Amino acid sequence: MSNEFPEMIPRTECHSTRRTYRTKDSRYHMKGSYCTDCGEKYFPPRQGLRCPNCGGRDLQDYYPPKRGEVLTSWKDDVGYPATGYTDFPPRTIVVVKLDDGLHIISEVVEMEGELVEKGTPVKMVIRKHKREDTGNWVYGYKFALAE
Amino acid sequence: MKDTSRQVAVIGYAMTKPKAKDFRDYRQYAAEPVFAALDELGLKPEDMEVWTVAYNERTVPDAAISPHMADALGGLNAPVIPTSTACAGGGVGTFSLYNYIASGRYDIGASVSFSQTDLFYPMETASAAGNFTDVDYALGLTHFHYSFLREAYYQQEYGTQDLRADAQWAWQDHWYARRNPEAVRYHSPMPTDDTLKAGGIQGMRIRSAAGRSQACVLIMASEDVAREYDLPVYIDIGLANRPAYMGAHFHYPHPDHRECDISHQPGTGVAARRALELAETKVDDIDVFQVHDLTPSDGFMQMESLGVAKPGEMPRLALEGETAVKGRFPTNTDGGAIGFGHSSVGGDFHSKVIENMKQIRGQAGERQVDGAETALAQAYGTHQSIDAVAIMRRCF
Ligand SMILES: [Zn+2]
Repeated sequence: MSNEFPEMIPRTECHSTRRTYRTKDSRYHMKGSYCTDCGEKYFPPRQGLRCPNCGGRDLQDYYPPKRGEVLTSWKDDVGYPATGYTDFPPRTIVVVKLDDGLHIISEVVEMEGELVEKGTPVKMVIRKHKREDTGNWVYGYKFALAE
Repeated sequence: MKDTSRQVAVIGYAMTKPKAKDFRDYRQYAAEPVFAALDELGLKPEDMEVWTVAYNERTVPDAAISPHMADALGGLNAPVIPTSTACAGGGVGTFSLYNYIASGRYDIGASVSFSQTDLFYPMETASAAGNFTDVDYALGLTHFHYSFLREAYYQQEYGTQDLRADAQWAWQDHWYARRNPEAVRYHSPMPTDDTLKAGGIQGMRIRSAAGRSQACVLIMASEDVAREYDLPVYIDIGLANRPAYMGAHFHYPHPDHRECDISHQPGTGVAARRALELAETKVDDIDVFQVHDLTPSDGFMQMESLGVAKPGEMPRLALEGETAVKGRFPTNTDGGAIGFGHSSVGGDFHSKVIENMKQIRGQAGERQVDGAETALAQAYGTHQSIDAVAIMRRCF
């Protein structure tokens, strides 16, 4: 709902505002998990689940390093953006390998879709993403070139 | 693991034809091939002891699909098992039916799959929902990003950025599709060499999956029952999983995945191993392959994960023509996702089984692989998170 569209616009995509709120720690800080039995680290988080490495079930919060390097990049200019991202392309979509070895799918900001060389150092930044169906802005991680 | 007590065979099948405009509702659409297949076998819906129905819940907002299908087919009291697992849905449904029959509980049943891609709801999420939505779709990342990142990574790791091998793989799909009236690209002209190697969206379109709507059915029976029908074909199926989040595809700490990254498809490898074990055969004995190739790199990865080639070797083998009808491993003889079309749940698995039926029965026309007796069908769902592999063998 908004001033422009006073009627409720139902959106059947998968995230409600409640869910967006509940998962904010992973979007703001890349919160993951580590296994207290074997030390294996995971992203996305898996507290309350089971460690595939050792079978342990004591998984605790883990905040990975906010720096890493680009493993591969792809220029997103082919259309079909996610709901709420219509004005975003061209985007530089990347796989980032963090300094602790975890892998994150994300984008590098301010590249206008230009590709980023494998091995380029990047750092996590917080950026505005899109509006929720309540009109709230969703914030979350992206990456920027690191000096 | 040999968890079956008897052989299962496919005895009949049918699928919808590609059509530009189709305004039927999903019940009518899914029912058409069911009636066609049963009519051809001289059977009625009530002769089926059990049904599986695979569909995509993004296209059907109705709360449950089973009562709709039971009603559409004439008021069945047989169990109708719904399954909704993305592009591998047909594989999951077929896997269930296979086990119902192999276990001895049921003798005959049908596996239905359907997807009307124009019903994706809302339209902008057509193929675009995420895998782990809290940290991908919620951040604007979709299936498109998964697919093309994986392609970019494969091309980078194995040096195929010049697109020669990709163009060859796609050309071969197009070649088969022009010889298959069921293919969505049957009527369009063959793409030129330049278009096949073009960069940007133009090249991408001609080298990647062509969307289509589709409904399919497979009629399956125990070996004893199957013998009463013409040209039955044995089927064995394996199913496996992989983590949904693409970042977790890098060295996931499990013995089957640890050495893998996004250029490998370990789920397909595991599913294939299980199916080959059940069929008591090996990959070298497969005469014809149907694999899930949303892009050529995808096709290379499937073949490599099946053990046909070592990682990074498939592009060269494709360039040497080994996927052609006279090659060492003819692949995607129906045209693949690029030429036949990609309908997700509607046929990504079932249509491959159907093409193998034609190949093993010697009814594939110009696409016929000489002496095809053993065939493989593979489909994945949600970007290699669910993998289904069927091994099919001649038994007539
Ligand atoms: Zn552990």
